[in-house]
Amino acid sequence: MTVHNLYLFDRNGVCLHYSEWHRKKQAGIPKEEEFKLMYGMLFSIRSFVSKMSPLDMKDGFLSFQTSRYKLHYYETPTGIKVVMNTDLGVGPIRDVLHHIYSSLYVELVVKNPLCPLGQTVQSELFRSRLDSYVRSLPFFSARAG
Amino acid sequence: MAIFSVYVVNKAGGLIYQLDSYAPRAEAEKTFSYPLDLLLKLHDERVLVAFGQRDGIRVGHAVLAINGMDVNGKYTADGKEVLEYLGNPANYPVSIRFGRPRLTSNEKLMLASMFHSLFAIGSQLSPEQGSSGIEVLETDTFKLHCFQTLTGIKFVVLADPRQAGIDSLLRKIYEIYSDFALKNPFYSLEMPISPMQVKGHQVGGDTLEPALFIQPSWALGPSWCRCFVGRRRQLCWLHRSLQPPRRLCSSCSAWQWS
Repeated sequence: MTVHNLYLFDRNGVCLHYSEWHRKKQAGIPKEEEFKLMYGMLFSIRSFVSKMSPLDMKDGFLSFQTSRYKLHYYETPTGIKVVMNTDLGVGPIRDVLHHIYSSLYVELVVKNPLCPLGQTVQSELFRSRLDSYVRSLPFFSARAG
Repeated sequence: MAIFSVYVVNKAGGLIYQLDSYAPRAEAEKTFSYPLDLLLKLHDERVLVAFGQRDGIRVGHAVLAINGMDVNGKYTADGKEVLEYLGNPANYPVSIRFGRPRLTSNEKLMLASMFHSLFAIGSQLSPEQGSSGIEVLETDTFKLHCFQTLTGIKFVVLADPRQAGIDSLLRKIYEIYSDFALKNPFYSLEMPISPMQVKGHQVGGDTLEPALFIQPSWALGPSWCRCFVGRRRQLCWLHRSLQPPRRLCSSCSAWQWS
């Protein structure tokens, strides 16, 4: 069980943060394009889900999985999207993504007067805290497996 | 109903079969007096609630019926425009039913193609080698399961999130498709499948009704062909070529279709 990578997007599609831990295959396109493709895919999935749903939705799209990985999604009412790719054995981690947003992003970036919002987060503190938090998760194993 | 719908998508992304079997959606009917405290707007040939969510009526719900009569898109059953009708104080008090709008066939086609692309992007953005496309997509109200065959046909099932056994249901649908559609010599590959008969099919406790692909296309008779040839409705060259072989009747020497 492992975490592959993590994306953080804002409401305009700007990738605020990206970090990877165990990624075996790159997308084959430059990082900028990969972020745009990921954001576009999530935007389309959200609108697809809202049309398809037989009942009124509360939380909306939660996750999807393929034969090799599972993508977890969490969106705040302000449009900040936290996306984490993990192994298949990982269950719902909505609270983990919420913690990343509320205790890491809001505390270290939003409340920091020197961090300009709407662009990639440069804060080294945020990067290191996020890294140590993800490494401390129970489903993160240091061995890439 | 645990299974909401079934979609079959061909390898180009086009929808070739669709089946809806969900329970009626949550609808709210209320009597209103002038002026209406909801803001309605016209969107995509439907009248939707834009603002004023309350009492079970949510933003995005469509006007389904006025005074008990179903509306037809943006027109009432009498042919008047809904927004005009509701703007006139003389028509009040009026009873309006709101609910989630049903998908039109065009929208289903577009959603199927959209899912086909998302499936491919899910595989491209994979951080692991050899990933397939999206197999399970989970939301809080439904779970979408997709099975892609080796030939690129996708079977998509929307079900309740707690429903189990969908994998075997998808394999069973594939089996039915190959038995009744692929083995039908008059079925053209990748073309829409016409579901002609309602036949209940037991799959592990879930009844998949109606199923699928029972009658061959030529058994429907020329009524399914809408071609006008020489100012009369008769079989065009394409549909005539799908007709079964004809034989000479032994008693009256007339050509007979089997």
